[in-house]
Amino acid sequence: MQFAIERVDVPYVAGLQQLTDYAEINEVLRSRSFVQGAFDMSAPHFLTNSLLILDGPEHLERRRMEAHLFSKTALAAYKADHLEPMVDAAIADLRLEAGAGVVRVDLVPLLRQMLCRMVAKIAGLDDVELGEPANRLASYVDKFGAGMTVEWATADQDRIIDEGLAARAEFERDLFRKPAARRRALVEDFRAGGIAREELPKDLITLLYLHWQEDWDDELPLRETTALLVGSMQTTSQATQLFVLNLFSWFADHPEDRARAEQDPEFLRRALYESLRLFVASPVRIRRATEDVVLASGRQIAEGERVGLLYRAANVDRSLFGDDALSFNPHREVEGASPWGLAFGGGMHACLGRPLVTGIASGEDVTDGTMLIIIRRLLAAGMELDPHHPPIPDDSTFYDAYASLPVVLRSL
Amino acid sequence: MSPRAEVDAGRCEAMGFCVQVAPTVFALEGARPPARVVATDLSDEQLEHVAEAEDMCPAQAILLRS
Repeated sequence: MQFAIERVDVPYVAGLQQLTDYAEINEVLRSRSFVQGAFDMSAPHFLTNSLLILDGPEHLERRRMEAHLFSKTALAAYKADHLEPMVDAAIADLRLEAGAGVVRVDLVPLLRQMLCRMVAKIAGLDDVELGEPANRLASYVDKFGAGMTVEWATADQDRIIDEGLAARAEFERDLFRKPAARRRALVEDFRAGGIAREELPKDLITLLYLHWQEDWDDELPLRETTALLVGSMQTTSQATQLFVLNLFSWFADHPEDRARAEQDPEFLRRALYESLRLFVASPVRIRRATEDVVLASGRQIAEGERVGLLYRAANVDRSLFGDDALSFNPHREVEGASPWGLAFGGGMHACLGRPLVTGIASGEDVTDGTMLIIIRRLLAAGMELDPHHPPIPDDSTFYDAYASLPVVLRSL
Repeated sequence: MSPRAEVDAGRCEAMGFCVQVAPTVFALEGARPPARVVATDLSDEQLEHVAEAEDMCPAQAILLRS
C-alpha cells in the first residue's frame, strides 16, 4: 500500500511528530536517548522480552548472543548449504513441471519455499524441506507475522491477534516442540560434560538454552524464534517481490539492461540496493524519548514522547539521492549515504540479518546476499512478469506487500 | 605479527556496536564514521571482544587481521 511520502495517516501513528529528514532520523536511531516505541499492541502477545523490543544493556547482551548466528562463516554456510540447494531444487521441480514449455508460477509462495530451509536452520528447526513442510512453515509465519504487526492491519485487530496466537500454538506443536526439546537436552548434556561445545548445533534455539537467564520464562525461545522467522522470511520475501517489480518496470523502459542483469553482476547488485532504498516494510518506525531531547536541527522532543520515523521519505531525499530520487534507477550514484538509505535502520536496532540480505556490499571480498542469489537464478531461468495476471497487493496490511505476484519462467 | 583490529572506513556507518563490546579497542568521535582503532598489542580478552564486534557489526566494517 503506497503512502504519501511526507505524512502517514493511519490511526496507529495519528498525532505523532513524524520525522522525514534523513539526518534527523539518523540522529534519533543512533541516540541513546530513544528506545523502541512500536509494537505496543502486539508485544504483550507475541514479543515480550524479545530482541525486537528490548533496549539498553539487556538488548546489547541479547544482540551479542544472537550475532553469532550472523558471523561470516555462518553466513557463507547458510547460503552454500541451505539457500542455494533449495533455490536449485525449487527450479528443478519447476523444470520437471514445465517439460519443454514455459511455466507460470506465483513468486510469493515460491520465494517462501526457497527461503524456508535457510531460515529454519538459523532458527533451529529440523526437517523443513521443500513442499509441504515449507508450506506449513510459511502459513504459520504469515499468521503470527500478521499478529506481530497488528498495529498496521487494515482488518479486525483482535481477530488477527487471535489467529496469530492460534497459528503460533500450532507451529509450536508441529515444528518447534521437538527440535527445541532436543536442543535443550543437548545443552544439558554439554553442561554435564557429555558432549563438547563444538557438537552443539549453531542456531538460535540452542544459543538461547546455552545462555539461559533465570528471569526468562519457558516461552521465550518460542517468541524469539517466531520473531526471527518473521524478520528473515517475511520481510526478505516482501523486499524481493518489490525488487522484481522494480526491475521489470525498469526493463520495460530500458530493454538493453535485461541482458546486462545476467551478464554484469555489479548491475544487479546496484539494482538491488536501489530497490531496497525504495522498499518500506513497516510504514513508520517509532521511537520513544527517554528524556527531553533537542535534535541538531532544533526539533524538540519531550521525555516520553513517541516519534514516527518515515524511512521512505528520508530515502528519497533529493540532496542525497538526486533529483530523480523518487524513481528506481539502478545506475544511481550515491555519496554520503548507504545506497539503500535507511532500509535496514541504524543504531542499536539496526537489522540483525542485514549481512545475510545484502552480502558483503563493498570492497574486494564482495559477496551476494540471499536476494541476489535467488534473483540471479530466476533471471537465468528466463523470468518475466506474467503479462496476463498482474500482481495483487496484499490489502490486509499497510505494509508494502503482495498477496500474489505471478511470473513466467521461459528458459528452464 | 600479532593479531590486530581494523575498521574498513568505507563500510563503517558508526552504529556503535564495536564501541559497546570492545570499548578499549574502538572509539567513535561525535557518532560520526569511521570508528577508530585505539589499541594495539591486544590482550586475549580484547581479541575476543574484537571477534564479537566483527560478528555484530551490521556494516561488516570490523576486521580482525592475524
